Amino acid sequence: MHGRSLLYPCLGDSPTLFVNIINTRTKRPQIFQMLVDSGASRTCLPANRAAFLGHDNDDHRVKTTVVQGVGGKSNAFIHTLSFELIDPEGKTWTRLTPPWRSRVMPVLFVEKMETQSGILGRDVLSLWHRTCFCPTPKSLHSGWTVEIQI
Amino acid sequence: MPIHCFMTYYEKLIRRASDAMNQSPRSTVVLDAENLNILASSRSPLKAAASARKAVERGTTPVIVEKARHQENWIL
Repeated sequence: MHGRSLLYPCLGDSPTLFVNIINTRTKRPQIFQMLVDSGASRTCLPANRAAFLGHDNDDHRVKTTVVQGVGGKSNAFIHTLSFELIDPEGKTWTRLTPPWRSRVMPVLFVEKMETQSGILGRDVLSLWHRTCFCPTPKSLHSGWTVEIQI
Repeated sequence: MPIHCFMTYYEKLIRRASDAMNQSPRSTVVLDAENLNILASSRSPLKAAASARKAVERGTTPVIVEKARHQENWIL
């Protein structure tokens, strides 16, 4: 028997969640929209999102790699961050207790990523016990519900 | 009693983010996570990033939202 089951209404017509991204240096969170994508092996964000977290892709200490997607190859900058799920049951901001936090992990910031969401890939999904996608076509603001068992 | 009184914080966040994206469909919008008010809206990701960093310096948690620009189907 695994732990808690969390139900998340998603943003728009895709399985997109809001998650806290924790800046490793400041320990402060920022909330980003992330597509839950079991087809992606690694979690990534568009390269321009690094600036939101105060990271500089041009710093000579930042490691880079090349990633391959449907759109072809792209350069990617590697920054270390941690992710937190937002409590989906809390009624007010002040009463939220994050139900799950990742370890500090490398995250790819991809140059040729023309999406407005980040992508939560299998490196994060594999840290949960189960992830289910449920269509909710009658809901006005949310076409999917994602159930995460932690 | 209004329906939003029964909503969770996360449901309010989804609804508010959706409204903010539709109001400014070509901009990056920065919301205050606590009250879900719009802190900044800009077509320049760099300007939005500066607003988000300033919010963090003030002790505010920013929410960064942006509407998908492309209607084509994804095959990922």
